[in-house]
Amino acid sequence: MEPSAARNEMLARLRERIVAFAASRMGRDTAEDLAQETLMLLEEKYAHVERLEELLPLSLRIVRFKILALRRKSLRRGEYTQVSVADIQLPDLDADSAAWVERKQMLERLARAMSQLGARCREMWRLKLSGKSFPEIQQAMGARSLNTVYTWDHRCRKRLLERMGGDWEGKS
Amino acid sequence: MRRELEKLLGGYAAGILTPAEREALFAAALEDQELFDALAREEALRDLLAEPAARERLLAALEEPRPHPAARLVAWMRRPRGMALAAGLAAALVAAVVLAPRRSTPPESRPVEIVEVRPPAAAVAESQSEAAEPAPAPRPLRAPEPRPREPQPEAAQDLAAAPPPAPQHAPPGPPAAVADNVATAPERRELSLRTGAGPGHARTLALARDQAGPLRYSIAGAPRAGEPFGLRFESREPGWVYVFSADAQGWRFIAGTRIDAGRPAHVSLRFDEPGRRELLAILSRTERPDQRPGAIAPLPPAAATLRIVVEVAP
Repeated sequence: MEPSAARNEMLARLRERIVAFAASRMGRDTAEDLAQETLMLLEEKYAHVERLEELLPLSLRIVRFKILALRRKSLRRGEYTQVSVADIQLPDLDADSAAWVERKQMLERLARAMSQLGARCREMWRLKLSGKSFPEIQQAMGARSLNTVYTWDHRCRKRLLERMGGDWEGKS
Repeated sequence: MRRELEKLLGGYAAGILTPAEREALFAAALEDQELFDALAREEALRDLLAEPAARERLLAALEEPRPHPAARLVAWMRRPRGMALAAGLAAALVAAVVLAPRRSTPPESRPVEIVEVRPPAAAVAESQSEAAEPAPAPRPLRAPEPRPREPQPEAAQDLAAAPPPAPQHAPPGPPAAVADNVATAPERRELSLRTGAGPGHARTLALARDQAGPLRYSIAGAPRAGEPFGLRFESREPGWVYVFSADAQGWRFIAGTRIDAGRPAHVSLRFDEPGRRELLAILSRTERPDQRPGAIAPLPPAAATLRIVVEVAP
């Protein structure tokens, strides 16, 4: 299969996945639009990206930014926050302040949740944050097999996510 | 296969997957919607962990020594959940000691942590109007009594001992009155219990002697100011659950979700200020797509209501 044909097939699959994911969070029409915009960006700006290992994370990143942008736009328009005129606060014109605050809050919640984990999970996260790969973690922690490390990490991630309320961003 | 590949999700966010692991994970995600969704949900964490300063902050948090197990136990006991469990265990111990010699008498019922399941006057009216479903006989209602804003500091106060008030019908009134109507059937006598670790940490629990109400709820996590927490609902009948918050202007709609019979439904809430919040959860058989979060809204027709008191800690 030619590279462009393979890429087109990947994009078609990606579109299908993106629409389904976005539709679970917003209206179907909006999800279709979002997927279309994402694909247009991949076609026009990132036409040189052809490998799935790069294309999929890139598309996920674009989708996340577009969903965040849509949420903020809805908030600005007051679509979900109909309040009295007297209660409306003056807008902060710094476009990134909301994102900065959300990011800071998420970091603090994450730090608090991580500090409450058990010894093995703390060690697992310490190694991961230090950039160690799973095979390296296996050696460092003396695990019998790589699968054991995967299982440990899966459990640690699950415990951390539970302490975060089931969603990294706290928006579920 | 997917279960195996799901174990790589933690490595994806941390950016430590080997090329082979990435290839396997992404190829599977392209074919599997659930795996793709899980990857997409990891994006926020991945984005955060891509920042070196954030990694440093988290590594610093991990380096902090964990307190001694005894100190952690004390800290845990001071948390509302810990206090509630400790109080529950103490109550169970006392009950076991008191009831042990009379084991031949059957236990009345096991207390469960649910809160004030009260079919309101509106619900009675609705069920009476529906011919398809046999409506229960209207229960005698008593007018709302002034409730203490803060429960008594004693561990438990048995309201069941109080004689039932004379039955009378509460007048139709504003939403607050609907929420405060209390059925006085003997089986609905409630036992209130307050636990907590000081101001802002107190939680009010009510132990009802039955689970007859169609709607039940529980709180996931300890509500803290500025942090999201979850309300988990269970219903014996399908419908829509709408959650309202009381303020000076009336009932403000804050969240809603579809609920199926016997299947839990969740809503996520967040209060930016600490303090006591009075919420009203309504199980409705009709969808109200016009409800907008944050807006003062008329209450939907109720099949059941649930009054929820949440103490938001600082």
